[in-house]
Amino acid sequence: MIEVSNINKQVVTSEGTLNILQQINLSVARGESLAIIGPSGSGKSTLLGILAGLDMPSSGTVAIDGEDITAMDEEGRAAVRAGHVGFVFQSFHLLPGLTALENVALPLELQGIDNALQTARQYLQRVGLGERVTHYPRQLSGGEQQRVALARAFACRPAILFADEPTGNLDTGTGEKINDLLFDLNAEEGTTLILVTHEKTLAARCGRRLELQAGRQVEQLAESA
Amino acid sequence: MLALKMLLRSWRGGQLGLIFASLVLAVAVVTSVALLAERVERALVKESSSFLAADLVVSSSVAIDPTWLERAQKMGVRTAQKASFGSMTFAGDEMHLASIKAVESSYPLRGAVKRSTVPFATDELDIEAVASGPQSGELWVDSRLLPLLNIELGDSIDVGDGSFNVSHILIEEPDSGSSFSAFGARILMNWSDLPASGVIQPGSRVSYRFLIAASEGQEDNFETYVDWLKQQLDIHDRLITPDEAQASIASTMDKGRRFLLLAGSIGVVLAGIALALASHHFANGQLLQVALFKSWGISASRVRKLYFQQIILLGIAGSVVGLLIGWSFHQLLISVVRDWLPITLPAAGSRPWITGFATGILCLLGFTLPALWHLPTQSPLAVLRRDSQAKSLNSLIRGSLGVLTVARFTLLV
Repeated sequence: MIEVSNINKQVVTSEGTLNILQQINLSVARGESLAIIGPSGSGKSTLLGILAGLDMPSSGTVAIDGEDITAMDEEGRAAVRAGHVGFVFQSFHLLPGLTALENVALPLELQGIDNALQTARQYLQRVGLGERVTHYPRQLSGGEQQRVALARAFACRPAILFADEPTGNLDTGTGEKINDLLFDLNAEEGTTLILVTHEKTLAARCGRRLELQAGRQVEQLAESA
Repeated sequence: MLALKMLLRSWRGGQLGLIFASLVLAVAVVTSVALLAERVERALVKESSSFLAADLVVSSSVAIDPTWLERAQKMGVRTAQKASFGSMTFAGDEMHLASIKAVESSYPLRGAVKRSTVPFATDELDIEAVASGPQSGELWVDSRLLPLLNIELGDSIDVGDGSFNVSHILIEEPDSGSSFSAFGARILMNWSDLPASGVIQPGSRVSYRFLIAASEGQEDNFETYVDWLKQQLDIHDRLITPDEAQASIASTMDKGRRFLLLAGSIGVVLAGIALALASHHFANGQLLQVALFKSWGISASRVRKLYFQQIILLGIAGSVVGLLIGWSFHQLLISVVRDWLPITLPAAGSRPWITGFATGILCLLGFTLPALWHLPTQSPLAVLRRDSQAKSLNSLIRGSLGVLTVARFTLLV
């Protein structure tokens, strides 16, 4: 599903060239779950961005379903994202002017899917927010907002879901519930899951882990605990 | 339509209120000023028309083409013909080379003819303003013709082969300021008496004038007819407008136009500044949304199209509301100054509405579009990293576009 070969990422700063990622090699099969772990500044989010086609490596290739997205321009990568990719973010990224229902329906509407609102409603019911569809993000707790974000991500039926610290802004109890929901939905939908996290318990629930330190792989595709 | 749905959601979220209000303000100011200017201008034109006795005149050295009259009749345009010439007049042994003006019964189309039964009358009580010229068989003559021919009111004089009754003293006709009055005593006669008098022969030196005026409520037909008429004119013909007819009125109209334009420009500048600030604020609020769109695979061109459609929809809605408010405000202005206006203001044409509407669209393109221009270039990476946001258009460029917009507006009015 995803093939990563010799990824390097460098940025030029006023203090010289900074190596964010070095020689990353990775393969993720369809339906697998992978946790990218490591300390802050180790390049986890940068790698996630490159895998999702949001960012470009300085060298190396990333192929999704055999298509080399690093050889594409932004429009080409956008087309790949539209067909394959969904996201869940640490800070939820719900649009404050839209209700929960509209937030979930928006990507569906942009894709031109019929009955976007009906589909959105079904997914909100699946995450337990069937009674809160008309509520705005400010009227929802952090956990509820992340559940809306999960509904939004899964409603588009992505082949790959990228999650960036999905419980990073939540307390432990709420985070656990969100994790349960994330993995339940992932199992039901058969989605490939790649997430970035600091949490060992969350990483442990993934099929594989990739640990980064100072931009390098220190643990190659570790077995699940 | 997704753009409309997004626009309504942004409106509900309160993100468009200030942009909409600024837009409505710009359109309302311009519309009210333009409506007032147009109505005052039309009133002045109408007033100056009375100096011309018509809205427009074609001066010609040959008789007016009958097809002009037929077409005017079909299109509901009012017409009157006039022929000016010099001719000898006789009363007994006395004779005088008079300046004669033969007019159709519909003359004058604007203004009035002043006549009297008292020679050399200066007292307003002795002077009567009437809407048409002499009846067939009658002549209205300059006071000085009476002593010149040694006659009195009620006597007959000969003009060519015809004999006519001098029924009134001609005090003033609307277009008396023309060169017609440069020689001889003035005489006004009915157009239908021309053939019987036989004064106009091949080779006679006659100045023909074709007077036209719009019928009430048929101003558009009039404009169409004038456009057609202009194409029919040849070397013998010359079009005379009210502006030419009265240079002082033209100057007043020009000053009025300039003053109102200045007032409108200030309104547009103020509303434009508010619009630019509100648009900048709105654009900042859209960065996350656009980054999300792009992370979901929406292309930059689609993002641009979605926002452009929203701007156009907002422009249409804001302009329509602005037009209505502008109309109400101009009505209010007129009701306030009505007592001081010496003239009745005619209805405005379509130009102020078009100007107002175009102002709305122009303001959005000049002040809002530049503020949103960078949105499609927003990096999708901004969903992960806040430092990956698109750079907005250089403020110097945005300012220049705003100035160009105001400059374009001044050309529009």
